[in-house]
Amino acid sequence: MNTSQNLETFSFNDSIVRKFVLATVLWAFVGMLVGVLIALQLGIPALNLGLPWTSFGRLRPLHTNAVIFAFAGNAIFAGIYYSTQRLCKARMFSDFLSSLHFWGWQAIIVAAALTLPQGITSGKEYAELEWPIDIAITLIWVVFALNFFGTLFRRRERHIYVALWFYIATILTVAMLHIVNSLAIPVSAFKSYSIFAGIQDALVQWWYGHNAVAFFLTTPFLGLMYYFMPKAAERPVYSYRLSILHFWSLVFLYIWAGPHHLLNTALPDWAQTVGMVFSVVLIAPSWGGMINGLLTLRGAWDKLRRDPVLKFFVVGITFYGMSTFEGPMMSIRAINAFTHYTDYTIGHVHGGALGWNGFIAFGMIYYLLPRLWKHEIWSPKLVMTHFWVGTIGIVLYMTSMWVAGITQALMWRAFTNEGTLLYPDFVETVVKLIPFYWIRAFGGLLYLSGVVMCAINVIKTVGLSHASGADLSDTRVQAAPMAAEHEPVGHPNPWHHRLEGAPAVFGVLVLISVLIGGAAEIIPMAAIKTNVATIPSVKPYTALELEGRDIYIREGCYNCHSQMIRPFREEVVRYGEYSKAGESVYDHPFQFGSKRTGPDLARVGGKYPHFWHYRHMKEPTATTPGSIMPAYPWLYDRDLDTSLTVKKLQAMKTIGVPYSDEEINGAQAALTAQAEKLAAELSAQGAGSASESAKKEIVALIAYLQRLGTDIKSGN
Amino acid sequence: MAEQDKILDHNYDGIREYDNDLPRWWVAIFWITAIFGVIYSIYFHMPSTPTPEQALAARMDELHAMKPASPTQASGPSEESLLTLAKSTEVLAKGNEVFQSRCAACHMPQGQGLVGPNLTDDYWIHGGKILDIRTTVMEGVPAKGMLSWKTMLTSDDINSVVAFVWSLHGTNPPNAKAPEGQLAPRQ
Repeated sequence: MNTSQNLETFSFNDSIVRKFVLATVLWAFVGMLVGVLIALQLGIPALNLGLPWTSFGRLRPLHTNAVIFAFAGNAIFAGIYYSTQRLCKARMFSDFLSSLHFWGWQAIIVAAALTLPQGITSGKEYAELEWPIDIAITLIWVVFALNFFGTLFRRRERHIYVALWFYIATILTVAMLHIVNSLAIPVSAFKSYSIFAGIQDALVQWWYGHNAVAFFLTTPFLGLMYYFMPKAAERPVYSYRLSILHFWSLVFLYIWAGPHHLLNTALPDWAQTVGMVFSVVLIAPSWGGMINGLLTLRGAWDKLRRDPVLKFFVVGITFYGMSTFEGPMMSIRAINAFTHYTDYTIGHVHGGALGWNGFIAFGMIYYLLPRLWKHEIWSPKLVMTHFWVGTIGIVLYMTSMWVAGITQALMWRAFTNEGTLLYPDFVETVVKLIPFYWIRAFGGLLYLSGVVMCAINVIKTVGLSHASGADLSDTRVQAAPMAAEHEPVGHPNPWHHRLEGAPAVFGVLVLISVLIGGAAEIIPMAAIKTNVATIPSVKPYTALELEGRDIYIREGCYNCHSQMIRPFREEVVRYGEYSKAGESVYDHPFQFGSKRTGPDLARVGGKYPHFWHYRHMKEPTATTPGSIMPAYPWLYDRDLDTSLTVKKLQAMKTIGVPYSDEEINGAQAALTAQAEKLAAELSAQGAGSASESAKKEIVALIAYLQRLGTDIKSGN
Repeated sequence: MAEQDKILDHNYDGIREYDNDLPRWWVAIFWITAIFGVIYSIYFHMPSTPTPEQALAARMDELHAMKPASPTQASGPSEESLLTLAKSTEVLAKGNEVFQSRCAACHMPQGQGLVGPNLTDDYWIHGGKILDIRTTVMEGVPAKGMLSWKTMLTSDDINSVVAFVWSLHGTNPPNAKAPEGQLAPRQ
């Protein structure tokens, strides 16, 4: 090269990438092991073990958090740290920040694994971690952002490649989503209440939840695809103009789609329509990524036969295409009416998580392994076995959940020719699903065994690398300093090309794109009163009910029970009057739920005698033969902790729940009085000594359940 | 129109890029979904389109219209016809089946009572005549947690289970719950 006189010599920080790769494999195993366990619990409720920290409601958040934030998170970071350095021709901005990011993130994961099984949770799906951990996430994310943008700032490549566009969108948007959705008022170090309530909380939560899928599980993985796919295929990317178009349309449109998680609920119709329409329009932007990924292999499809890395990528991208078609279809009001609350959705998300995220991550790991450890992979055969076992596992998982979802949806809405429900007992529709739960668990087990194969290959390869004395010092490279921007001659899109030379401007434009959709939905909901019609008879929870509600949240009841009756006849007949927005205005956080493994509870209040609940929570099959619900024996042993009751009411008052000063000051006395009254009623119904049970947690939980949905009845 | 596989001057860590044209079918999907979105939004929010509440009301009317499947069921069976049913072993077997799946959770398998009252003694809270029992099963006692079964069971099932409950009288099962309600011995 004739410019060799001003070449700079530097090195890539490869050791940080190695750390993230190892963490990815470790957390994949842990997260999916918990997944298989909770899948089995649905078939064998005894596997809940009768212990608080091993019951489904507490482990399911551990599973989702571990797979999303620990497994996928570490995979993203590994890929971003590896590719950003090479695409920028620069070492990561700061070795200290890189280390802090790695260890900080692992510490957050460990904190999650320690708190979630203890029932320390904010009760918002995919954002369960309590406020101190939320703050830690924010800080570590800022560390990551500084490190990443610092690297961009010091880059030697003038223009940023499409993978980096996706990383920029990821970092900025995740920060915005996490901060807004985590806004909460602390009561103690381990307890807080979302500042939003009811339908507004639900909108913010699903704006977050849906875009966690978009900007934690989609955009970063598209970035990884754009780097590792052409590298592994050794082929040019199919279309640059497609990259531009699908990147900007994806980033702009995705953020609007959150309300599709709340279709046919009490969310105002206009917001539902916006969520649905934007979801449908997302098909093309999503498929733009799929096309660019798959068509990059044009002319090199024969490589697919030999190269397991490409196999993982191609199947992963195919699952991406499938999920991003299925998702918009499920966002159509009428289809959602059918699939929502059923296992169909569980099948859908696992197609995305196991197929797209999992296979891109594993393909990437197998690509990186020989390059990072300077030794060929211990067993290419085992890689191939992992691929096939994993693929079969996903197919079994998805198809069994599709069938289970469709079966249950049909049973829920079946009427006799006299107009009565054909399956009035909810549990009848659950028992039918158990064979499919077995198939699902088997599929999950296959996928997990693939992860074990991957782990063995990684351990063996790393061992061989060390044994062979491979030089693992950082890769040293030479590159010229960043060239000045020049007038792009003959470039098909000079305007965008110039933008690629100015990452700061690029980032600002991304931020504006994602702010528009969120603001357009959330601000009107908060500002316009008519969106949540007030109902005068709806009153705040009593102190005892609030404590009971916190037990409901702690035990993760929302993982299996919804509290949102949709305006369909099969729901009105089964559960009662459909839910109104005004009924949940004091629900910090909302507890609408997203899955009905058990029946809806929005109007369970007064449906059964106290004693029914008392027997049911102790041994669900006593009142409901065939029930797969875990037993909650500890609620009968533990005294209700009322040390925070007054503080809880005060916190609620701060965020707008109209408790009077008398109610707050008299909270303890009122709580005791209500508990004693309820315990006396329980005793009269046959539950044994009232003085014993009045202090127990179960009484608070029953008080809460008996209140649910009754404010409207008493108002009429 | 870009030429097929025109390679750009880009080179990022060895990654090159073509600038191929957007696949036509892909562009078509975008426009079709966008146009669908606009039309749907207008249609759904037109005053002439039933709101979800109106749609629900119409669907509920369909259900109500299905109710009187036969003329006798509209007004309910007579006391005599129910008492006749209570003598049929076939009906009682069916009633037992319904009872075990729906009622036993609270009234226990032999009707001895636990959460709900004992159904085998001479004491009745809501009346012990066979038509009273039928009314209690149909309408429930929401204040006390007895469900209303008229929307959940067919009239055949309700009649069978009422006949079965009637047949439990005097069976004296073990561990029976203490009497509740008024003494109303059968004549």
